Amino acid sequence: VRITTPNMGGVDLLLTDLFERLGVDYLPSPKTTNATMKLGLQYSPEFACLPLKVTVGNLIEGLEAGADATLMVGGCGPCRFGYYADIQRRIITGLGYEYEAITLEPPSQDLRQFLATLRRISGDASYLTIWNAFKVSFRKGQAFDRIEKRALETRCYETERGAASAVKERAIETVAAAKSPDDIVSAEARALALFDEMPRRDIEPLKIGIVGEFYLLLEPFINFDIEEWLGERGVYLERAVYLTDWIGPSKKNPVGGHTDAFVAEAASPYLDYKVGGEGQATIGHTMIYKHAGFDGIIQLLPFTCMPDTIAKSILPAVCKAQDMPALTLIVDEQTGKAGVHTRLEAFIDLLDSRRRARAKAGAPMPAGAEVTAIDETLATARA
Amino acid sequence: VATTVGIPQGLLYYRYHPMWKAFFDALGVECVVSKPTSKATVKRGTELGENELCLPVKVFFGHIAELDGKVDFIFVPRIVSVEPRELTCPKFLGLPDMAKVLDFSTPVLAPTIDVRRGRVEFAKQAFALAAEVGAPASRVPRAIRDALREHERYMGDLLAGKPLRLPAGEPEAGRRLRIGVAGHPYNIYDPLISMDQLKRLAERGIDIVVPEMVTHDEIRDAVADMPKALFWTYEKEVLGCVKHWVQNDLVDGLVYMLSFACGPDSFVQVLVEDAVCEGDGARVPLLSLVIDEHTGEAGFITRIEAFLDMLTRRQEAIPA
Repeated sequence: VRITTPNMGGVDLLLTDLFERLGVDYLPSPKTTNATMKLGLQYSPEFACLPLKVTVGNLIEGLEAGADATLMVGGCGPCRFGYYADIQRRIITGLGYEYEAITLEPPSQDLRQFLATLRRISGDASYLTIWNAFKVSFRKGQAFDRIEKRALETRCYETERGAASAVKERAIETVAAAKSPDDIVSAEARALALFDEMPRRDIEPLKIGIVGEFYLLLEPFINFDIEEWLGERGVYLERAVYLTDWIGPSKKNPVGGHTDAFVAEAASPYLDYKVGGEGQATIGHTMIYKHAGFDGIIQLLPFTCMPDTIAKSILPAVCKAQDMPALTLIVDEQTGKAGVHTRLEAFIDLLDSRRRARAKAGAPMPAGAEVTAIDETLATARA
Repeated sequence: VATTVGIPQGLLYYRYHPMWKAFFDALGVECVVSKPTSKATVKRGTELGENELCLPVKVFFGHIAELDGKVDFIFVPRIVSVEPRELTCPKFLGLPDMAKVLDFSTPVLAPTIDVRRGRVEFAKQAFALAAEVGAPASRVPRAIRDALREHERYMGDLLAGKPLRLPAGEPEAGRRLRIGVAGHPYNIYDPLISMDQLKRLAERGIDIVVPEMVTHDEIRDAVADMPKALFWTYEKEVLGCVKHWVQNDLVDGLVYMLSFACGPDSFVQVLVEDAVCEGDGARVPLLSLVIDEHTGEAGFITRIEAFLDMLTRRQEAIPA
């Protein structure tokens, strides 16, 4: 079989590496374009969330390109994502496509089925082979994520527009070429060093944290590449979710740097319950960014996204109590690039004038502290 | 003066209100239920709620606003799971948190109901709730017993179709049509959200069946063939009743009422559409009505009338 998957950020980079190790015939679905969107919209339920619509488009394009099987992960709710695979299969087979829809349900749901699916994908490789391949590929995925993270942190300092993105591309190539575990580690070091060689401006950039639903955070086509756009306008960025942290079974989030438990605790004064998806994490990360001295946050979510709509309902109270500016961008198929950019510009202006007002008043700049404990902020919030 | 607890007449009120009332009665606490949804409720709720929330949640906020300041507490339980291995909609999981940030002056009572955590945890929540309203702990065991008994009675009544109390109109022509009205109880029973659909249908001499008239076992059997089980209990019930009616040829037509921006229903809609086409070509006509705060009554009625005309004509063409 030739397997295709939907696009989401660098997921194809990671899977290309993994499937090469396992000898699986993998065909990433073509890059998401407007045509993909159109295809997905045409066949998906009207008020399904945007990621479903786009991924339906991806899978159809993947099948059209020659794949005869699709791979999706499952889930057990409460977010709709857990049911994506079944809905995609119903929509696409309803169109007359004949293919094998493989769904990898989480092991917590049904361990035997999980293992059987792994064997099915990998052409009956042994579990040990699969695990070893996964370990190495996952490590490589972390290297890709660290490159992305570094690009977010350094783009604001570039002296020439596009310099950081060019470095990022070279860095990804460097890591992509590495094969053995040792090679990957050294390639990662070399790749990250490329950013240090980049000429830098001496500025005090605005700092913005990007929070919200993971698909929107990870897929540049869908979020209008706001990270690059903001970075090129001199904004230092951090992002709440990275691909390997999201996939990662440890919940320790080594790339992002905060454990799930820590993020949940940070959110607890306002949202003391896991509501699925990134709902609670959106609030938690907002608190963490506040504590780390960021100027503001941007929340991204697809229209009708349940968990992040809950977060959006709660966010105004958080921002008011914590004096933290936030811009919420709800994205659906009607959202236009120009509208998004106008709002981003206005938001940057707002943050900038807040900074100037603070400087004029002689107030100290917020300290960019490493966030290890959030007790103080939490204590004030609870009081 | 007895402590008063306000119960918003929205969302899961339609399913659990006799149970809640029995519980608070046994504690010696007085329940004050908000008035049935009116235009003012919708208006207030729409002002309060985030734009992207579904209509029933906004309506629920409107009910809280009505009770705010008039009672000692407002009851907004966090209903997480009511069946093993299943959950409810995320918005029920975050409901108390969303209610708390709306700046109401009345404190919110938000016990967490999660059957996956067992009976002991359930009892703990009940004791904590009693303590919060200042009722003696000694009354709690009896309150739990009363509440569960009352719930069983109510579910039995619903199964028999008793609480509907619909007018019995005469059919205009031909055999009496039987229509299954599927959807969440807060969509089909709320007089304003549903625009009194059940009453309108009944007045026209139509036999109505609703999801609450299908037993737990029937639902379980009906969804047994799903390649992936639905993890939302209430949506599983909606789908299960549709499949049950279709598989057993119990209805002439289906009206499925769902609210715009309802996450689970956006998917269940696909499953319902598949369900009415299943089997060897046996199809049941389906009318999906999507409701939001801008839905106009006239457009709604027109569509239903067209649907009924179609069913009548179909009935004439296909002899029973």
